[in-house]
Amino acid sequence: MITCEDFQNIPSLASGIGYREPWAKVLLETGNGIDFLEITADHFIDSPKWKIDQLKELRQRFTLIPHGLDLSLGSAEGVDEKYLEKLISIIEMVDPPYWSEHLAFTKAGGLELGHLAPLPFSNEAVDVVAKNVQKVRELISLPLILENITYGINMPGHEMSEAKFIRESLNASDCGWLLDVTNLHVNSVNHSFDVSEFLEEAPTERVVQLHYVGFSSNKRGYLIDDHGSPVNDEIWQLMDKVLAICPAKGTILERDSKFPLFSEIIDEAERARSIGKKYMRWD
Amino acid sequence: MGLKNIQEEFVKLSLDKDAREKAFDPSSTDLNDFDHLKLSVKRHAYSLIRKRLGVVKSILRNTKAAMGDAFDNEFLKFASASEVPSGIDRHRKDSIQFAEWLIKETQDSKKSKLLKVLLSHELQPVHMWMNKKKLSIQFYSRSPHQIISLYRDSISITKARISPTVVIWWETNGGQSCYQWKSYSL
Repeated sequence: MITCEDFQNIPSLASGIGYREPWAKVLLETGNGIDFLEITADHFIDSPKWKIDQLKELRQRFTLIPHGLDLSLGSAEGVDEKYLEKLISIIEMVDPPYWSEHLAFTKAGGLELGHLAPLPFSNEAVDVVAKNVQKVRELISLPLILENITYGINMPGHEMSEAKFIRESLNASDCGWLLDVTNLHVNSVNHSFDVSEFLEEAPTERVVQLHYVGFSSNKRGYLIDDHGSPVNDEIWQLMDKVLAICPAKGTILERDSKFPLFSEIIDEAERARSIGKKYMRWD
Repeated sequence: MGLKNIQEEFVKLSLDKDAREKAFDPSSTDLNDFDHLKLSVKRHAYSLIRKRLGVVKSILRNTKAAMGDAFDNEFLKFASASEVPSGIDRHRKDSIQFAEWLIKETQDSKKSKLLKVLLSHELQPVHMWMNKKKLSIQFYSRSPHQIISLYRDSISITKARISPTVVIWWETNGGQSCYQWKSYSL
């Protein structure tokens, strides 16, 4: 059994970024200003030798946190064992202090969405997540943290609030929380709820890591976590609020498109680092 | 309805246009759990296709630049009529299938041959990745390099002259660009 204490024993990692191919050169040559990296595990599964060599090279320089996309821990039909084996081989290769996935599902009925879909906030979904995580734990005992996602659709079958669902799911599965502050902000605006109330109900004591990036909005004022914008003021303010109360070990900037100069990424990482320092989350 | 059924129905409605039209047909008397979420499901389905387009665009950059907006329009047509590939290489498979579809769709047009060269060229690193090949040699009647240069200089790519060309692709060691190529034209 993994307890909250186990998560607190994870060393502080401070301020990192999600590894993306355009930054390979600069990260491998200098890597200054970046404390650790999150790698998307799926990008290395079934990859050619050069990609695995690149991973090993990155591992020599940084602590790497594998982040899975397609395990579908919320699938009622269970997890794909072949995919899981491949995912585990990548996780073991980088020997991380923990790894992460999502509180979501990506496949059902033999079809793959190719994207994260929300779960109904129901007791059955809590049980499914716990059962799937237990199955995963039979093969890999490393601490696992789960991320809250954005959702444009309220699935039928809600029985509780999202915050309570996260609490119940993480408690039942003994997982830590990868709190995506951008997803939280986006959902709070799109679904009109109060972030402070959400945080009071949510398992903030289980937060191990944060995700953050900028968001954009469409003509209807609907917020979109496009992973392609500079970090907005609202996100910095929310990060400050979260780091004041959550025992996070690190933050990851998740930029996936419209890549700016790397110096701008370093600046954003530095700002996140200083917020964590202010609350003594790391040195 | 249990979670399993909800998930299966949601995935089907998100991916299958025909299933969506049938489920949300105003004349239908059958009710499903997503009836009141019709608009959200349609938006979700569209956003999944836009996401596929975004990735395929990044893989077929030169073709996108050559075709402009027509690339997006053709992909939207292709995506609404094709199954979403599965597995870890889903976006690579999507790019290959779209290229095959595009070549078939444009076979009667003037640009067909040039498009075929461009797509074949751009898909080489994709095939090399998927087949774990370190070296690939391709023969073309027109130089992909010339075609890329023409559109970069905003010159009509139909001006590409016949120029038998050998293109050699090879894998490099790490860094940003891990598949490199060099062409030799006669």
